[in-house]
Amino acid sequence: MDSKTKLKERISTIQDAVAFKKTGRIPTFSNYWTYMILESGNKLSEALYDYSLLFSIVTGFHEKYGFDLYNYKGARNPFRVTEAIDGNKYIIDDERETFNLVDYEIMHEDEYSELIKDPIKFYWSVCLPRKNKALGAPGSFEAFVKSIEEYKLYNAFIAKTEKYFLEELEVPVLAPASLLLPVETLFNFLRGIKGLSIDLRRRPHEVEAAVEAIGRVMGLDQVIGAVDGPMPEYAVFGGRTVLLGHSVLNPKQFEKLYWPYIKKWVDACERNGKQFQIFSEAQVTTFTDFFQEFPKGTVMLQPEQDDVFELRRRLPNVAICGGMKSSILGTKSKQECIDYAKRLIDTLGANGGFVMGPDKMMTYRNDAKPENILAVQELCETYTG
Amino acid sequence: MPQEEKEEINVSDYPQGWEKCLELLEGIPEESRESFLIGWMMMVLNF
Repeated sequence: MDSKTKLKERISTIQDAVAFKKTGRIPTFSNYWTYMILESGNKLSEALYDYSLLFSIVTGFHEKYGFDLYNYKGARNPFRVTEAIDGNKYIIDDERETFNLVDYEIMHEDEYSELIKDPIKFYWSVCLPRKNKALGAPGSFEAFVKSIEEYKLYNAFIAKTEKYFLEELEVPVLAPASLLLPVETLFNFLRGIKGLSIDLRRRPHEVEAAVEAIGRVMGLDQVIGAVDGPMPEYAVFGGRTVLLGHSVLNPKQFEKLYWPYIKKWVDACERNGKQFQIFSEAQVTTFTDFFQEFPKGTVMLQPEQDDVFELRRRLPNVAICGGMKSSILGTKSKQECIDYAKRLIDTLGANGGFVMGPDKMMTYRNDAKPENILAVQELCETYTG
Repeated sequence: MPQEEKEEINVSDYPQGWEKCLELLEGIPEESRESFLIGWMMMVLNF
């Protein structure tokens, strides 16, 4: 008997759903993050520093709920790596079960020319010591060596978890390459939400030039070019990206800063018979005019704050992943969850085009009742609209 | 005769700190060290 039967079935079911083909069951995608840690009864401050514990939590979550695909398998908060160089900006509150991010600025608004001229030099000589104090002070090389040792351990944890999910649990990998687009570097860590919003108004040409320079050093062309190569048999999508900074852009800015990269990547997937996944925070309804260009069945969009029914009306060509409201999963009865899940399947997935999952990054204990997660998972095994 | 002071470098000095860090990546094949170092750098900047 082929031991990879379930893996292949998962991949084909998801790909068929994205291609708007009717499937024998509704595939499911876990958008559960630190919720996994809290649901298991562990503390954030313990699990995020103990890779053995984190491994047992994420694999135990799968044993219990059995999703087909995962956004998070424990790799997101490398606190041990950054703490070694005095660069951890998160404060864990176990009582409130939250992280709090200390506010800081890595790049000042008048430093665009340095960034554009040589991004690597700018990151290394300016940004690194600004965020990670130990790297600009005496003893920096000792701190660096310690951080590298932690980085190796962190990577070993990721590799072990990925291998286990793939080989033992038969859960596929999302994509061989998942990359944030260049503008996210400005939004996510260099300038932040407020800084980038101001820069888009005051220095738009510098923002554009910075995005181009960042894209060159991050090797985005090579990543997109690799789509022309063979597809790994363990992956679902040919490529994947996450949209974060689009939330502060208008459509004209999106057209310059995001769309050329997204289109190039999706075009590469389409000509190679592959599919592309977009995971979006905030809302994307503002940009659906662009997404209407995607060939039907090529893209799966995982939105957050959008009304998924409105998204389907605007984008009959794009598969939708998610939609199961955390407000229902966390507070309502099993039957109410089943009823809403049926509505999602009937409206969005009766003829393919839908992958079930929660409507946001599930973080807090009250985001979902375990019995409700199970009820929706069980429904998806038998109900197809 | 005046004694020359040896200038101490830190990790964040460029390119001297960068080059010394590449040397310190024991166990990483030489041809992979630059990409490994960039991967580490992007992680500690992003998170």
